[in-house]
Amino acid sequence: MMLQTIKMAFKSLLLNKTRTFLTMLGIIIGIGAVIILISAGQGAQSLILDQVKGIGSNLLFVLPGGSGKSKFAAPAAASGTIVTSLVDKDVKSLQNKDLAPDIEFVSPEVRGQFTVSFGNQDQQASVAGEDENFSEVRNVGLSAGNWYTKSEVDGFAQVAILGSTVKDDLFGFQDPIGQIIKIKGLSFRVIGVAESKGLGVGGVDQDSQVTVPVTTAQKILLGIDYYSLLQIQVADEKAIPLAQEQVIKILRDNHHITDPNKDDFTIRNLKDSVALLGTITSALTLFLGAIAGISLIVGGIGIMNIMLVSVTERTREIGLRKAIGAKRKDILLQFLFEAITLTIIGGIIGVILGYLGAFGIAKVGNWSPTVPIYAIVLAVGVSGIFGLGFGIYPANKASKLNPIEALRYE
Amino acid sequence: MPLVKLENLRKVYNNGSDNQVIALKDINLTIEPGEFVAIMGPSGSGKSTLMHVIGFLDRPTSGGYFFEDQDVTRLTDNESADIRNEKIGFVFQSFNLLARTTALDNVILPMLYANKHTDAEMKTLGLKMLEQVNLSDRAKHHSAELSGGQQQRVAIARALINDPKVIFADEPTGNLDSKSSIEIMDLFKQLNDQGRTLIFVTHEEDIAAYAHRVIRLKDGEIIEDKREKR
Repeated sequence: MMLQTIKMAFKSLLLNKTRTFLTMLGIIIGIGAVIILISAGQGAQSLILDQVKGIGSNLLFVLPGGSGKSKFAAPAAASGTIVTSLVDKDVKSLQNKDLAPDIEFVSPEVRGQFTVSFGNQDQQASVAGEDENFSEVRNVGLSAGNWYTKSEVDGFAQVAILGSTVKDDLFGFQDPIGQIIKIKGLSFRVIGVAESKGLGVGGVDQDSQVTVPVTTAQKILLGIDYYSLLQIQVADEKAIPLAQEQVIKILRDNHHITDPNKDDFTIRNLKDSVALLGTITSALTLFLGAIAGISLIVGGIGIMNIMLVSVTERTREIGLRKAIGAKRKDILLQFLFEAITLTIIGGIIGVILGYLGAFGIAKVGNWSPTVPIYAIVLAVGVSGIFGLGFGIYPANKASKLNPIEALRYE
Repeated sequence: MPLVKLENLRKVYNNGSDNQVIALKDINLTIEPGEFVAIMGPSGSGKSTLMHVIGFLDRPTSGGYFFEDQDVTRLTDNESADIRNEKIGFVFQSFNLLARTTALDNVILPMLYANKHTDAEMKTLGLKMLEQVNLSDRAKHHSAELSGGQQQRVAIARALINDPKVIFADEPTGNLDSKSSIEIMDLFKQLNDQGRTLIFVTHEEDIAAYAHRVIRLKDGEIIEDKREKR
């Protein structure tokens, strides 16, 4: 009997292709949507975190100007005020291994906006003054040429590393290495081109900037004796709190500060930024989870509706089958098999479509496609329960009617 | 041995509530094998209820029902289903064929639930039965492609497929034109001539005229039970 019932179930599904397709569609969409949403949420989250982590989480940034107690408030320097508190003496003290044993490199930075020109091409570009350690501290690779050396930094050399966008704008397909460009009217020799990196910390477009030795930028281009940023690389990520203490002590001593609330510098570390981003992306995940949850419910209700309608519509058929000798068990088995078949096939198609969708969105969003197992389990589980439950529930109800009541059902 | 024997059979709808309806009042009736019986009466007389109760589609509220001398008032749902499958065949006014299903598949449906034959045997028996109702050439047609009379003949073939003791027909010509009606009643007559017991409900005198015995109901009671002299 079992075999005949299974055959009957398949036959019934095949004979009513539209009904079968529509019912399956409910399951397919329910499962596909949930998988795509959860996967997109995860992808976006890991994209954001990876980008931040890629900068390096063993870095400390010292910015001039205090920011009070708040961890994330903007320091005075960020609001346009010129703060001249970070000077060469601070850098020397921080580089002193006796005072700051956990600090590996200190890389001071100054910034300015200048006209950069080559031949008759010119443009406004951000010029960053960095020292020889910058490439290592900030993980900047070169696609051509070499980084400048310590002696070039010490000797105020007029050499420049071009961001990839600047290189393209000024030189096109020409080889820029060894060419002379003008910054603020002064001649600089191009010695390298940086790899394309996209947006850096604080939204600086690293590709459209020109990097020159920090000494040259400070004394020759800007004519100042302070720094706009100190980048500190700590030997080990775990030593960040220690290094941070050392920086605070040295700078307070150097600047004669006794009241911690009156610090004229602000220390940022990427760990805090990552933590902050973590809270943002967790909120994002929660939000996407809520959307996924709603789509689960909507998908589930969709499946419920189409199952309820299509099975209830068949009450007369159930009545006829009973009238010619089907037992309640036969009816239930048939509808159970129909619901199982619909759920399994719909589920498989839904998972496949979910995968394809997730990969498609990952391609558009430019993150690595991940479909977490729990998304599949959740989607298939909930849709399966709704599909089976509401496929059998009305059939069970109808199978309990006596045949004549079921046959009279309108 | 009578085929059907009813003793003080009652059927009450909404029993015990304010709007209870007594559909059948103390029916006493005996039907012998081989009879050709028409049950008549105005609508609401209880004729369909009587047919459903003796056809195991509905249950009596009280009284005795003996089918082949066996008390069947206390049967379980599954036992009733077995009797419906093996011992009786039902023909409905609205045919009740499965949609999008071929005539042959409709005919063999009761055999699937009986589960006594292989697929090949069922096909052979089904085709044979279609031949008996003159529909061999329509075996592969879907029910929607058949005329009303043809659909009813498929339904009769379906009712006959498990070789039942008795065929019940509820207004079998109610949805048919007069030509098809005659065809169907001729087919019934032919089946009865072969010895099959036939019990049908109708409200048309000319259809009832095919039967050898006419039972008239009114307000749930038998008011006349007339046998034609053979």
